[in-house]
Amino acid sequence: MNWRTLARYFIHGMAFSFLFFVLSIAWVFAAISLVNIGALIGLVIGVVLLFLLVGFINSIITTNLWFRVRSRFWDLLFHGIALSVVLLALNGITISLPNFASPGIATSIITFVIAAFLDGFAAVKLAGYWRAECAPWIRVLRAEKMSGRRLAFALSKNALAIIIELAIIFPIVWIVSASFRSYGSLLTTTLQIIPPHPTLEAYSWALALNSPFWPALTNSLLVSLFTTGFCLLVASPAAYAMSRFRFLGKRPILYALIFIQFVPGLLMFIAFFYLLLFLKLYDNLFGLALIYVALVLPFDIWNLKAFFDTLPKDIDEAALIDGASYWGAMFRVVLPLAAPGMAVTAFFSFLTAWNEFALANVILGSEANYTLPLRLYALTQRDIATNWPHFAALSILSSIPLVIVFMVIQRYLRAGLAIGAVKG
Amino acid sequence: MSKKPKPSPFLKDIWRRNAVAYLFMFPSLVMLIVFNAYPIIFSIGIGFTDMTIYNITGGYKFIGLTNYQKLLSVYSSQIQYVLYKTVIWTVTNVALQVAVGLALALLYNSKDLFGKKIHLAIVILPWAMPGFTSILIWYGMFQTGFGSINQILRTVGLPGPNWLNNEWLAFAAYNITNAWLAYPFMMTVILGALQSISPELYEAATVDGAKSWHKLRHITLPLIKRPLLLATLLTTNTTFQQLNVQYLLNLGGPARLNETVMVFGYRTILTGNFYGLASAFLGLVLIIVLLIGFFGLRVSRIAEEAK
Amino acid sequence: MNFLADVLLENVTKKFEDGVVAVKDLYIEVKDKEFVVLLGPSGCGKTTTLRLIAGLEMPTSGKIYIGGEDVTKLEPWARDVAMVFQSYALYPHMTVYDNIAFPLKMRKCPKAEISRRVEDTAELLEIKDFLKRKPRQLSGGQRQRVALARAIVRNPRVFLMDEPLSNLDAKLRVLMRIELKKLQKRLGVTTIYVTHDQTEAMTLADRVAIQFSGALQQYAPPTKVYSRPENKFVAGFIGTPPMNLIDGKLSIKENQGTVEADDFTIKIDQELKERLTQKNDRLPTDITYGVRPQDCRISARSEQREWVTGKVYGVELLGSENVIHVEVGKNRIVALASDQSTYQMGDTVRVNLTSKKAHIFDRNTEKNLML
Repeated sequence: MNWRTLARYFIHGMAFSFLFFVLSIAWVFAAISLVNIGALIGLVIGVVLLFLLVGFINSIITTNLWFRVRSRFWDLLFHGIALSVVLLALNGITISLPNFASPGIATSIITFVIAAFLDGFAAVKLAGYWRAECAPWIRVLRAEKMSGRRLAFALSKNALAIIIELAIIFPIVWIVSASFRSYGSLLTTTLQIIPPHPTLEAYSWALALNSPFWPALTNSLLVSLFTTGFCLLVASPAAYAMSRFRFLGKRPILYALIFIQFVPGLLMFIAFFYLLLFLKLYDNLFGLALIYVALVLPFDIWNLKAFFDTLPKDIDEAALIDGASYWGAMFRVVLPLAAPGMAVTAFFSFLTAWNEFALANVILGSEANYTLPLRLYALTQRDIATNWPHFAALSILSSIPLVIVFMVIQRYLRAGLAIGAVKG
Repeated sequence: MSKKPKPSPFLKDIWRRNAVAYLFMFPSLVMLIVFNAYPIIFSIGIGFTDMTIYNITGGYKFIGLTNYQKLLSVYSSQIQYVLYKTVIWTVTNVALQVAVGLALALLYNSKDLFGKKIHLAIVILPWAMPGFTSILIWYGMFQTGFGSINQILRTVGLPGPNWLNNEWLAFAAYNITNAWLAYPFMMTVILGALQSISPELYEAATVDGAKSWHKLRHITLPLIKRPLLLATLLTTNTTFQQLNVQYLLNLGGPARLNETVMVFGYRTILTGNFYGLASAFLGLVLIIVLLIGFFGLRVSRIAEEAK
Repeated sequence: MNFLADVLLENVTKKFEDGVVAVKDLYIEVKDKEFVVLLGPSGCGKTTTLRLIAGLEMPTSGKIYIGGEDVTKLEPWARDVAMVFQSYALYPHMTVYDNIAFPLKMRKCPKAEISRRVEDTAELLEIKDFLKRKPRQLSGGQRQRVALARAIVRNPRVFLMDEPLSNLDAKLRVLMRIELKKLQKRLGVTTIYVTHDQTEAMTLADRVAIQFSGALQQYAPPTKVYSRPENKFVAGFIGTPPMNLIDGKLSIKENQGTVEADDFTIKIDQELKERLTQKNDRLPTDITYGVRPQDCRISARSEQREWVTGKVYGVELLGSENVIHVEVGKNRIVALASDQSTYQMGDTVRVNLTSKKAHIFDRNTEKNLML
């Protein structure tokens, strides 16, 4: 990503806004005359025209600035619909949010610039995505000359998928909506997805310097990072040994690893409690982290071993002959190649530690030590008096980083699980 | 091509490599023994004492099999009830997860879908959300008055019941919540397995005259049986051990009516009484779990792959 | 460091966990600068032998010496040997330069010297243009040369090669064979090379060690292995098409010797008979008679009584000559005929199996009675 590309995004956004502004005047005239034909028909045609317009503008700009985009009717239509939705949402957020916080000319200008940039970025990505994913599909559909029934079947599958996804993300939509409400406005008995008077009160409360969010976040981060790092450090050599060497006791240890993972964690809670009391680490984040390591370690070793197994042993042996010691062979040759597997394993360890509630509830007593799960739980405990918007804001803030990382990694997760699935 | 013979663990000839291997394993072994093996043994041991939170630091006595006797006589009806609830929960929810996972995997494997990357990213979202957050969100959504579930019901004209205060409605709530949380795992595994089936098989079947339903029954399902079973085993274990869902939603059912083994054990730990009794109970559960796990492993022959 | 680099395996045995005895009481000595090939079918123990020398396996009993030094208990990196794997085993995440430099880096060579030696070796193997690339961007032949470079750059005492050419296409294989031999002569490094391809063995080796089921069958220069096989296995393994081996009963009378196979009799060449009686006091009755297709003669009509009669059941037209498969009694005999011959399936032909280049093997011990 260099300055030139960034500038192009900006130009794209500006060009789009300009063209849209100009052409929308024409559209308004067209729309007015259409309404005269008949309200409903006119509305429908007007909307379709609008989408076509959006799609058309974007394809022209994209073709000139970046790469060729198809501009047949259906392409433009779907393209336009998608882009309109995205732009609406995007602009809605970028323009309204800062102006909430501090309205003014400076803010407006900055907002405008950022909006243009984001618009351009979104438009190009959409065009590219369209070109890569959807256009070929349409071409295939056309080429196969599907019968009407078949086409309807295919379309209904898509519709079904969309409906299902809407149902799935509903909780997330709800919580996002809740986070923008004021305390009282949540307590309605009718369904309202878009809050009537959106407010940022919940977020400002959560992000304030004295809110419980920051200490809880720090605690969670400390514990999770320690668990992940320590586990990886300890598990890597062990997994390497299990994968490469043959030694007395390897089988029993392998079985033990599986066995441990099947033992209900609850069984060990009392013992953990006792152990930490004994080590004087009760109500201590470090103690909690140690227990987490115990919980995560068997899985880590197992996973890493499976991953190491996929790397050919030849390279190890070549390294041994070339003069590396066993440690050197592992460190310089195998580990670099196993980096993706290690990243996935690390991510899962981090996730486990971050999400853990039950044990933390038992072990951590003082509020100062609360991790995020505990803090969120504490918020909901005042029942009727629960401040849901606060809770919502806090939930979102504590979820976003995780979700983003997850989205980035998910391709590898699916690949990793696929390997495990096929082999298993 | 000559075969490469497998290296052997003959004591005499690679004792030195044994030493190196142990060195590599050492830190892990220490952690595993201190923080895994010892707690398990100790926990089982607690089952033979009268420990509570008051005498945990000293003063608890060894009382032999008294706890077990009590469990099987005095408390037997309660235990049966909890076990019964646990079994119903596990079976229902795992079935639900498999059904949803399978259905979605089949849908999302279809080539008629476009924009698969985005679809998959959305569908995997429940997995991305932190569990405790999601459960608490569902807690909010199941609230009688302002919970969105009831809001939706009212919009359609149906009454909005009190989910969390009714034994079986709460059970339904548990199922919905956990299904939402857990289906991505099952779906991902099945999807991976589906994608590894060579399309040529389906083409051959088409030539042989098979319809979609036949293809599903005779090609797809048998070929994904193995990973499916493995995933089912894993998720059965996880679902069985699940306590966050029940605990965070309504502490295990109105008046403890929906307590599973895990929730029961957890609440006992939190209140601090009857550690000994609870440990004995969990010890019994452990035996059951091990037996099932053992047979499950045998069935899916994981042990073979472990080499 | 390249002192006298002879290799000695002294009564080495390697037994694996599952009971398989890969190497049985092996005694092999390789002279300094010699090119020795370990040849044999799959599973004969040749790769295990190589790995024992490399230090990747430890012998169950016996000792291994390199340059007079007992290395039996030494780890691979201490033995100063270099190995080229069948799969090349290049480090995928490193550039070609780093791959070649790796062994030098492990021995803590100074950077300037590493650079010089890598460049020289790359020049020698003509891969200088690829130094910045990664292995996955190279073709099979190029990767093989990188693997070679990595082995050469250290100037080791011994080269070990495990079927390095088997992944290349036929033409490239022939080219590389010649290159390898030239390279070895030029560098003067003791080389031990494993293969199952006898053409490779015969062209490359100073001496060939033929192994079967973990035991050494014969250890001699290629010509000797071909013309004077020590036992039935070697005789049947070396040579294309393979030697005809016919079981029969030996009968030596005053003036002539014969081998009675089930349906026919083969007359033994006089010179052969003399040598046979000379070298052996007692001759066994059950023997195997071996004669190479090259030494058999075939004719549509021959009146000589010594020739045996058979029916053609297969003809291979090789262009330079024809290979005729003949069914004689219950035996299948292969003979070579000129490319002009016109034998057809089902023809009745006469074959002359008597030759002074034939061999007689004791059926029980399988040893060559001629030596």
